[in-house]
Amino acid sequence: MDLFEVIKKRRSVRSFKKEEVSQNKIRKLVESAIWAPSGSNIYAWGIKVVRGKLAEKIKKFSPGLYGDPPVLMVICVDKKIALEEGGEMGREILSFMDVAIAAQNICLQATEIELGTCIVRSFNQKAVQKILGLSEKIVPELIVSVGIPENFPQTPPKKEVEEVVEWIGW
Amino acid sequence: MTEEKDLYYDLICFLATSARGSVKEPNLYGSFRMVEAIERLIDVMGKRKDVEDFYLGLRDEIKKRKYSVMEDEREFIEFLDDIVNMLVEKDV
Repeated sequence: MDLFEVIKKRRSVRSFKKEEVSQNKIRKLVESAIWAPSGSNIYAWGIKVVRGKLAEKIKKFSPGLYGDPPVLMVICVDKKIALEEGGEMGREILSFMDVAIAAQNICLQATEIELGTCIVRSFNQKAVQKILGLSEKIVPELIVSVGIPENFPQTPPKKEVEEVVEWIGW
Repeated sequence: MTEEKDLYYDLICFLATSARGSVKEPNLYGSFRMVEAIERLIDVMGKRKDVEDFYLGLRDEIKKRKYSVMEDEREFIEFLDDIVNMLVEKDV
């Protein structure tokens, strides 16, 4: 698939088959995240790849997580590194953007290898922190659910180019 | 009994985290979580005993239409109205 095709094919999948995903495929998703840009090249984030009992427990505290995915990729920010290396802007803004860009890379790569994903922010951060035994400075910011799609959602309405762009100096 | 306790635990976790999440989430997500709680409650009822077809129909309607919250606000609100109407029209 060419890139634009992958971009257009990606959906927020909320229904997964009860099948495992191989570690090799997950590794490829992590590698794709690593290739995402990061403000000041800081990369204050890390990914906890969770399955099994702990994943089941996280799902209970994540109202926005649907479809019983077999794997959860919990993207966490190390707030200490974000502050020390990126200053206030690094901690309060750039680290969030970095996580979002990394998540998008994961989703696009997943689409390319026929996996389904959904980026989730509706979960209880403190609960997830506790379940995973994370220190206070390691904050889970996004969860990407991963699995083999049961079905692909329909394409939601998208805006036309002219609705979002203002050509300046063209 | 353990399974039943787990079902209640799951539902209560969902309600508690939804309540906490609603403080900062988009306004309509509060409604979204509440109708989903109905869906989950009907699931729990179904594990305990036979559930009236009416409730199963209600659950199906919720499953089918709840995600409109992310795509079409008007459609989502119509869906909420329809849920209430279904309940009003039920013989009790």
